[in-house]
Amino acid sequence: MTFVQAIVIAVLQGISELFPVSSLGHTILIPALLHWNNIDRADPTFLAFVVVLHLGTAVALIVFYRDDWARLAKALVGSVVRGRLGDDPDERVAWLLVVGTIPVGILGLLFKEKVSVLFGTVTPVAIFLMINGLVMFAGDWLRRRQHAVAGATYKPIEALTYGQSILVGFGQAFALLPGISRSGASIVVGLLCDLDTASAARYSFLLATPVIFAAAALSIPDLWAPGAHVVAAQAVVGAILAGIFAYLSVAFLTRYFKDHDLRAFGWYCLLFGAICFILAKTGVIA
Amino acid sequence: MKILALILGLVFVLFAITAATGICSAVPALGFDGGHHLKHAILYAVLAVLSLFWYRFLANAPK
Repeated sequence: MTFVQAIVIAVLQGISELFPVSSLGHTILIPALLHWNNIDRADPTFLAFVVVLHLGTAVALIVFYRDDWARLAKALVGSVVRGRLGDDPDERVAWLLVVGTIPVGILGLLFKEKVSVLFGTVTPVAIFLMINGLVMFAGDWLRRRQHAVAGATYKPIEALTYGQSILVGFGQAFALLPGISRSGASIVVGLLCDLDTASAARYSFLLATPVIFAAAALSIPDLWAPGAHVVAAQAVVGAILAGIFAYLSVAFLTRYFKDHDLRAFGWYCLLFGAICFILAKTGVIA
Repeated sequence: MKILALILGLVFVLFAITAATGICSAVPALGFDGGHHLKHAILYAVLAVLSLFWYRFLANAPK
């Protein structure tokens, strides 16, 4: 991997991890479009580099939501020490996040490698990216219908039930399929649980933080795996760039979702997925 | 529910020990293939702790 390739992948990772467009899908499709045949996704060096990028992204998310995390951690520890759940909204949100993280933790550990081996090529990724776009349209349409027909009102994050939080967690687990976006799927399920778009996005980003951080932390031994030769300069610059772009992305998206819905990202996923699918089928990209 | 939380806690403790030590090779999908699986062991340990927290919350909940 050249230095330029490392920079492009780091920026791509930082942006696409939070945008509802599938980072995993983009790190497969973009190198294929650019004909970067020297990048082997199963190579220990590449896997180690990805770990570093995820650590950068996770740190950016923690920094962005530092005040929230400080309050949530304090509330969580407080409830554990007391041995009782109270009425504090922060405590409630903290436990919702814990419960919502369980599905992706279990499913990720059990199926992640098998899924990426089965579907980690351009054609299935392009198909899943189109499905991701359709899911966003469907989620947005169902949400509108739910509120127009049934007259449902939006609720704050702390009003979610633990069952709904587990559902959002399962939504997040769909992102194990390359091309399905973690944030997109969890935002859609959040919308269907009567959160407004901004709250669903905020909950999705909070929920993503421990998952990304834990996945990266558990993969740290990959940095010293046999055959992993990460260039220190690439790793440091890559982590910093991924972190900066992840921070800018989450800052942008939290504002964007106050006034907009998911449809723009739905169109993007449909079009980009369709283009990649056609290019793969015509043999232009492999 | 209290009993379920307790049973889950104990089961996950056993799973964590099994995955870490590799004493069982019957269910490879769960990390029990005779090898030492640190990631599986950590996950099961976390689930065990959460189940035991759940048990404690239920035990201390107002009647």
